[in-house]
Amino acid sequence: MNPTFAADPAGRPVLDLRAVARPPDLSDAPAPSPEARAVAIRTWKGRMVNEHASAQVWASLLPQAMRAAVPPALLVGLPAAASDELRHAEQCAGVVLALGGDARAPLPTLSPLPQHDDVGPLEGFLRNILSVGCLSETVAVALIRAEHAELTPGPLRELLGTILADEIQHARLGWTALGLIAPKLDAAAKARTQAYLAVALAHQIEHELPLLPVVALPDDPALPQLGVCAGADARRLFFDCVEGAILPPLAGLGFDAAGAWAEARRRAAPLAAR
Amino acid sequence: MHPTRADLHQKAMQAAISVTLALGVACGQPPQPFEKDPTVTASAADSAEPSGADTADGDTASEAADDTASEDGAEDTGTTALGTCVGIVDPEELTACCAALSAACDAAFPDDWEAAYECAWGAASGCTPWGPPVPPVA
Repeated sequence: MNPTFAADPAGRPVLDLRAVARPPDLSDAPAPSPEARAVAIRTWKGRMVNEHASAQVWASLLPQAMRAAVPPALLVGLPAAASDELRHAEQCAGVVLALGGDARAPLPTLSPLPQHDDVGPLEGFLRNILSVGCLSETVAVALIRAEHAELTPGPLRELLGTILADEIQHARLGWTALGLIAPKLDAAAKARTQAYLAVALAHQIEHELPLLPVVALPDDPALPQLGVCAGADARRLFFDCVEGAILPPLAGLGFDAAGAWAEARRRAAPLAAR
Repeated sequence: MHPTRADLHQKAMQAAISVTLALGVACGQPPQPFEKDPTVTASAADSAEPSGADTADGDTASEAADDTASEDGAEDTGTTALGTCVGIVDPEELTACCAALSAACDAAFPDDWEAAYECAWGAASGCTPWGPPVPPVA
């Protein structure tokens, strides 16, 4: 590996994965139109950046979890998830290259991971792992599973399958942590977590839906075979995933999940309308 | 045989439900088998278009970008002449604006990836690509 450290003219760091990306063989995939190819490149480059940034989020959770004395069996999953996301970024970069794109992009500035200093370390960690693991990653599992199921067997399906397998583990890590920590909350902490749940669900709406634009894609049958989903389908899946997969187990823990979801949709209106 | 949209949807829902079983295991409860036909609201499955479908109209997206291109902030932040989505509050409108701006920037800078990326996703654009799952503050 010959890493390069690049920056754009403004001095901001640039993620350059050209040297480490391994392009999958897409020679059997249907050839897209130039317009569709541009959409696919933009999509996979966005995923490349997103996966890289997700690694930072998982890595940032580790010191907070250690301050909260989270059991080592859970701790080890956090750097593992960060490592997975870095590998995903390289895999996405490989697809960008295979499509004829350039696997470089300026890195966005991330908001720092909230420390939730108004509560204790374990409750603060619970908020973050609830948002990242139980909500974001579970939604990711649903969306990636749908894309994976639509692909015909081949290198891109295999690649997406490995990413899906990792995201499943990340989501399971989140739900496991929630299952271990939530029963330890006292009544006051549970009430605060209930309030945070509405905030986190609203954040999901605000975070996920703009990534699933309803703007029409080029009418090209090659696009689904290049892992580009239709935004409208993905939006329906997002809402069904929250309501059918995420809310029931939260309710099983004693949270007013339906009430939090209703509050989240009020906060995020008008985006929250199906 | 190519899977139907209903097939895709059900596989996706089953995958999502399956990961939540880790919760029951962590709580010491035996995992519950998930339903073969998980809850899918009829309104979602049957709906042809989400309520925001009117923004699927390319003209609407373009208008959103055009409208904001003339905002005073565009020149102050050094964005390109193609426009900016800075200042748009409505999320749906922001989505449409950013999608239109991204396409316009790709077309304007086909051979200059840095310029295209800066144009579409730089700070002056008001847009972010695939924002990461940074949790919100309370």
